[in-house]
Amino acid sequence: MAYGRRSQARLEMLGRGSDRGRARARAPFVALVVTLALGLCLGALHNRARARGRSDVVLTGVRTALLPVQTATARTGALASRDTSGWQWPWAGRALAKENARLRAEVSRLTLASQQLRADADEAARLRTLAGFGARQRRGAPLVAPVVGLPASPLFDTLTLGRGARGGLKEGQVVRTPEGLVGQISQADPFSATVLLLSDPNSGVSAYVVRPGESRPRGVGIAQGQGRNWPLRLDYLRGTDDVRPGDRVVSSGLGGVVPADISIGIVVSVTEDKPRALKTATVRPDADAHLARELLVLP
Amino acid sequence: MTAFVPVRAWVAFALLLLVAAGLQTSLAPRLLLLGSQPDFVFAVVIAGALLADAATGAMLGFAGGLVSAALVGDTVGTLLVSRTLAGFAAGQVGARLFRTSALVIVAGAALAFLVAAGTFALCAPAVFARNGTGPAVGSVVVGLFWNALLVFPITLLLRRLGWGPGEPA
Repeated sequence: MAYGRRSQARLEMLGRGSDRGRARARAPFVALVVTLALGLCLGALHNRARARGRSDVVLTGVRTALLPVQTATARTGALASRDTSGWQWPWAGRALAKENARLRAEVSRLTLASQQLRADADEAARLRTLAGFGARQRRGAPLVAPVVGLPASPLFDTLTLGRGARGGLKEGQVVRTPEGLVGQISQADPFSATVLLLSDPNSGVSAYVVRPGESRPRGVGIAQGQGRNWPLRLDYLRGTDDVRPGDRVVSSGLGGVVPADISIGIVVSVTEDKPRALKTATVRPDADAHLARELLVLP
Repeated sequence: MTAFVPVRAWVAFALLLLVAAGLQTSLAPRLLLLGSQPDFVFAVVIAGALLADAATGAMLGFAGGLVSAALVGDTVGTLLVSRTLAGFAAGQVGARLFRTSALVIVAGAALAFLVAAGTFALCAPAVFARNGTGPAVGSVVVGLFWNALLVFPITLLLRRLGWGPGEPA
């Protein structure tokens, strides 16, 4: 093809007048297409693996590689903020001694409470046997896992634990703090695990509304997350359920995944959906996993 | 412009990306503002792409998307595609317009962020706007602010570490 002199000069300047120049101009788009195709393939493989209940090998490898860095930054952050406000971290030793004393007192108190609870449990088991009910299956002691990663994106409320499948964690295990329910393990890699928090919109647990001093629940619904720093929403309460602000929300145990009677939160407000004869309650959660350094995983 | 980056600069970039991943799950969540938090991984990738070219930018975007997807654990394909496109866009800006000027860097970062957010919104609208369109738009606006704040100093740091356009061997 013949070009005018000016056009030829311009083409040469752009480097497109030659095969090499054309190839160079195409290179970014080739790289883009290749990386996009790779990304779509990895995404499809991930979804397929998750649908089959398996872990994604590529992402597991990346997470395992990132774990030491996450652990190091989590520990650095913990050292800088441990019971020391702002700039007092050089005197962390004194603060640590104070915290140790507080924790020792707490351990003593909890030991006494545990002994009382054990006695109550034994009595309940005896009464259950007398009444002809089967023995409730006992769960083992909870596993303690350190929190090494907070939510990496505001769109997903998940935590990373510094303990994984090799430490006895499995997908589906319930995670809690002493204050209440926090979430479930959604993925267990060999050395780390991802916890889907109750506040994540993908999360939902069957819950009872109870009032102190009453043996029967006031209502049953599904407690769902609405995002970080948003209250929970308790859906599918019947319109006739007598649910009021101040009522407690606990896990129902229905479905057998989450044990019963784990505290979830307190009802803050109730709205009615009269056409559907349903109520929805807003629940302030008891436990804040984002502040926890360790979480308890129920085996 | 040809982006030739020495090996030691690649090593420095990889280390910076690792540090950014650590900060993403320790510091970033504590800086949540109006539903948005800084994305250190994204900022490092975009800063690197602005100093390179479109092809390198696409690869850096892919790498950053892989790290983000590993940390988040969800919407893997969407994160990979949106970050790859953002890296490519930043690389195009870097190849055609780059100057060590705050305006070009901030504008390039803003463009890349909008490409990433727009792609994510198109591919995963239910996730993007799960709390409503208003909060989603608000988080994009605040996200632009975070990126503008982060990308410029990271770009200067990468230049110091030897990352940037040079002469081919």
